[in-house]
Amino acid sequence: MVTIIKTEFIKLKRYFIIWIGVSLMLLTVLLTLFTTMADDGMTWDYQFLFEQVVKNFVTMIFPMCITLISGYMISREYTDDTLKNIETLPISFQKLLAGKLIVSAILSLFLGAVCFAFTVIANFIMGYEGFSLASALTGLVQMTLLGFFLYLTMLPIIVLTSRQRSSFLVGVIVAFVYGFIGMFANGALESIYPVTAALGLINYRSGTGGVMWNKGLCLISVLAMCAIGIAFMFIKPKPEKKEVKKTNRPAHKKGW
Amino acid sequence: MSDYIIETHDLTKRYGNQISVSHLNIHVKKGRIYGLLGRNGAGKTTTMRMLLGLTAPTSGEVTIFGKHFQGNEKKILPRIGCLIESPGFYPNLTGTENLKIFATLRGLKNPKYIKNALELVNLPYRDKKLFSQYSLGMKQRLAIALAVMHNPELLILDEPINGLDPIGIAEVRDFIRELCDASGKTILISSHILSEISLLADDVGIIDHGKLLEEESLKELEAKNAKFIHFCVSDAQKAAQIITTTFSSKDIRLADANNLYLYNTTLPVAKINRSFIEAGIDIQEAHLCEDTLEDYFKKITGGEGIA
Repeated sequence: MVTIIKTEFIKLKRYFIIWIGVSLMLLTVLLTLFTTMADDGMTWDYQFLFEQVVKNFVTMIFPMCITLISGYMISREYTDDTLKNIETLPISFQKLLAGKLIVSAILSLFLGAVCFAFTVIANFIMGYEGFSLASALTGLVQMTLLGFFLYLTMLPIIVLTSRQRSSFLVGVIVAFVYGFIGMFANGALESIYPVTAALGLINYRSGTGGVMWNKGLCLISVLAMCAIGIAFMFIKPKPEKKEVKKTNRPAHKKGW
Repeated sequence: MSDYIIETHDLTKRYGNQISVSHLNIHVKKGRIYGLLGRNGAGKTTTMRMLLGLTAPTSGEVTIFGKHFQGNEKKILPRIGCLIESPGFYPNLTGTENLKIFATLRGLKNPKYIKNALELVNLPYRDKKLFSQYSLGMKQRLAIALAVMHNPELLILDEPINGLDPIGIAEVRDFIRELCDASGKTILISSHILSEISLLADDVGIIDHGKLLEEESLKELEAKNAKFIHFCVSDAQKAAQIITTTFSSKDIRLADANNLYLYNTTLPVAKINRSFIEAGIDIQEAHLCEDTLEDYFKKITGGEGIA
């Protein structure tokens, strides 16, 4: 498995999808900064900026982003036609997928950290108060872990759409909707709905925002999604179909 | 134990109602080049995919190195090098980086494996050119380098000369021949190019519509090819009468008023020519001819020729 992970990192060299991930993290922060322009009487400081970035990160960008990156990493084995070379080594698709999912987990931590770095840069540009080393350290740990927990909640979608080439794009849409619904989760549902449960695990706005997290429930919710994702890995793929080139039917003659 | 490196028993592959490969029984001998010859869509690639476990057979069995393939994949596959369909590599990486991935996965730590494989196919080691910038010929060479990198005992090469220029084709042909002759490797090669198979293979399997029509050594196939004497004369009808009466042979075919084919090549051609002249028949041409492998292919597939 270590060898597979090692080679997965080699495959990421010069790979554009990582830059798309970084760009999406920047977009999360820019989207948040855009809302500062609203004249709603809110006083912005570092803590508020961080919370708003986290909100957008969870409900708008990250679920879609990590599903896209993981999906691309898996799908390329089909599109670049490299799966046959790997399967004849022999390395099974399941083993390869497991390796890719571990690398995606590491990337989720990385992207969380990148998003935090953009938040800090944005804070300096905007000149908000309330930034301290302690709050920065807490923020870094929180956002990095949030990326990882969110990734775990997306595992079933990533795994389920990995069996066919390009079906991950459907997964990206589902992940976006799945994340967006989190915006409407309230009360006890916040600790049950996997996307918002990930927030509970990092103590998001605990106390200050009046949010009372049921940590046990949050953990169960996230781990359950992770377990479902792993279980999906063992589903047998559909029997193969031979690719048949579509033949153009002769156009019907219209008119006389 | 069987003398064959690859043996299939009634290997069949069905996609829905369509039969791609039907009750195929091929036998690849150790240290020989076996050419699987057939038109596009004849079932060559499907057969090779089944031999490598990339496609599950609907029925039948594959035995490689004397072991049943199913259940022994982990023991068998590391001893095989393969090139199936188009070369598949990561476009964002260089040729060396691509090979490094597969060398790492195979547990080949020494970079000499990559270097030697690239040298064999005349590709530069540690070149900065990305795979996406490679020409089709370079891609094909890299795929061959991947197939031979781990020094396998058996090579399964599906149309390895696709996309290569004439010089490249000759180089790959020599290289494959050398792998077999000098290193004793067994090679199964598929092609729809008849001339390539006839130049390279020791044994030939002719596949058409998923069925193996013929499996013999190239020498046996060549011996099977019909030999005949072609006469182009002023009166073929009269010439045929002379051969039948004077030389007691009915093994002839009258093509038209001027062309006559004599299939008994043991008859004395000089005497036949003299008899024709004495009977007042003018002889424009007289040749000893032999059917080509293509003619034979046409004959047994019952259709048109092949490239």
